[in-house]
Amino acid sequence: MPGRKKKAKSETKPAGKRKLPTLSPALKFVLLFLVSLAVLGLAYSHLTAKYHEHMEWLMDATATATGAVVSLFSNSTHYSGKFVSYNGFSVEIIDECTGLLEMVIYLAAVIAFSASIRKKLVGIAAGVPAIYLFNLLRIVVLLVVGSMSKRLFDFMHLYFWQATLILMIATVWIGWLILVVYREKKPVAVSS
Amino acid sequence: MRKNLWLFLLKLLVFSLALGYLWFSRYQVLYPYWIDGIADPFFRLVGVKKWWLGLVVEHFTNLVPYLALVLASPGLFKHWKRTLIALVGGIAILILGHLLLSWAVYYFHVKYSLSKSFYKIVVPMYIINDALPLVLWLSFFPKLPSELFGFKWPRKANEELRG
Repeated sequence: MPGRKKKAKSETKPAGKRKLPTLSPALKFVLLFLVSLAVLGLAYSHLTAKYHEHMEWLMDATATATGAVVSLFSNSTHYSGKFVSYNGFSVEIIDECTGLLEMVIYLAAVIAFSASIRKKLVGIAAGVPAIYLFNLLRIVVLLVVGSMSKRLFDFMHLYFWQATLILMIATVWIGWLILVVYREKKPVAVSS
Repeated sequence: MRKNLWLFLLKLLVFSLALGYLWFSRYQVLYPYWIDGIADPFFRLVGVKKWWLGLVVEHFTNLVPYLALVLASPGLFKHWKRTLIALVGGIAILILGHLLLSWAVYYFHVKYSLSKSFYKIVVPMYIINDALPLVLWLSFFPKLPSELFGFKWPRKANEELRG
């Protein structure tokens, strides 16, 4: 009898204990990621607007580091302040070239992923310098490309922001997941 | 897994370069005309009198990495329904994002001009807009990252804490 069956089924589930529909872990991550991104983005723009003068050193340091890397391979490199030139092609390092925006997105991804605080701190401590190095490599490539073709530089410069955004952040974030979050501890050999 | 991952990365690179080239050489200029049919009534509805394209057009580029991610994802034809939903749904969301970004840029430009206050508010919107391709790809293909890169989405926050 279907009626009786239904009743019996409803009796087994006590009222108030019905499970609420849960979000899939991936979707939960996406939502948390967006919220973290909005909060960190706001903090980033407030801080950079307020302390812009104190951030000049980061642009200078990025220009110096780029110049130093390129000068390892060529003598025709000059760098001073925020400017770097290679083979007569000069670029100015501005806020967006420092990799800070990429770091903000990466931080949001680390914060949004369900992991222990310790693992998140490891992710931040190792991931932020890794993104900085990736960004340095991006500028070096752009500088070399620009010295060869201005047209190619424009394309790479415009598109690299979007493409490297995904590649840099995803690489470092997935690296953190594989090397830190899901790293299994090797069992310690016990001698009998 | 490794084979799939390398194939995915290779396809991502090829699609990114090809679509990026097409976008910058031709379609970036045409795109605002294409969406004008939706943009015009939307802007009239919300009171946008000028489309500050110079301040937003570079951020419309997020269409390219999103398309590249979807097209590079394994099972493009095998799971054609999923691909179609991701393409139509994702592009619709990105276009909506472009319109909302343009609206916000107009609104805050009227309010603050191109001052520090303007950038303080608009930069987070740029960041979210630029990260949107990755977010959408994760939403439409939630199982793919774990399949490709060999990690699991944690079920509960505590699960990881215990592990």
